[in-house]
Amino acid sequence: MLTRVLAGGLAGAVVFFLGGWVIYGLVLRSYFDSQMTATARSVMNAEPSFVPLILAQIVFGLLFAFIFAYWGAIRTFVGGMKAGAIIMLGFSLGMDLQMSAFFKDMHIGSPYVPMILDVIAATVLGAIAGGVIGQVLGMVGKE
Amino acid sequence: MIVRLIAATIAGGIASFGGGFVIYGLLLGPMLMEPNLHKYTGAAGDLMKDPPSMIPLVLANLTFPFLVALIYERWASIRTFATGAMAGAVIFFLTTLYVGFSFFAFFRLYKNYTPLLADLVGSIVLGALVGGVIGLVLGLMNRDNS
Repeated sequence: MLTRVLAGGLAGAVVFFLGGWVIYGLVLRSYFDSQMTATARSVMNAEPSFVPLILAQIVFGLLFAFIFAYWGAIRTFVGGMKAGAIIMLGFSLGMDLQMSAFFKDMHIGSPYVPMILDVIAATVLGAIAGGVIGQVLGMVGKE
Repeated sequence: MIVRLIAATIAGGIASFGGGFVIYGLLLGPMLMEPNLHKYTGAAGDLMKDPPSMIPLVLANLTFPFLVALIYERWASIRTFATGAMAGAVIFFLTTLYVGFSFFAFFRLYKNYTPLLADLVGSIVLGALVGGVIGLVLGLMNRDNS
């Protein structure tokens, strides 16, 4: 069980890292940059710090792998994709709502369009990472 | 299943809102977290809302419990307070660790690691409370149905 969770979690972390870079760092970066206020820019690092960023992806990969292996008995790409999408949809929606409850002056205009786009992007990322985690859990379990 | 999910979500949401207010709003926030956050004074004043916006806060406090209830109901088959509390503590701890590391990666908000450590301790307690309540409600409603 532990080996499967570690293997699935690390594979998921790689996908979260690379997929997040492609989706948020390349495809959506100019849009989100254009929506930020000067206050929001002043709070953000010019470039992300890589050590905490990598640790964050490992933690999230392990959480998904733990849920899939320990509770979900998920062992396929499709099963992982569905579960990953559901978890990321709920998590990103909750986080965005919480951010909008506690932080002000972050977006130019309505905060809802960036929020909806973020939830969609996070759901896609969760589906891809979840699929890979499910696949790895199935492969390691078979061996 | 839908009725059970809704009932567990509402019960978990009340526990999350009330517990979060006590743990973060009264204890950890003023004592350990706020003194260790950088203050920003942009065009709209301080970055943090005081008080927070209640509509998104209430919705957030329903979204997370719904996700936990869904995990318990669909995958984990958790039906007791004790197992729900343990699972809730694990889920909240790991998600808070993820959010804390992400904040360190992308934002200049924390002066040091104290807010993250306080948040992690708070998340274990809050996760145990919310997860326990959700597990208990799911168990009670499953008993009623059987």
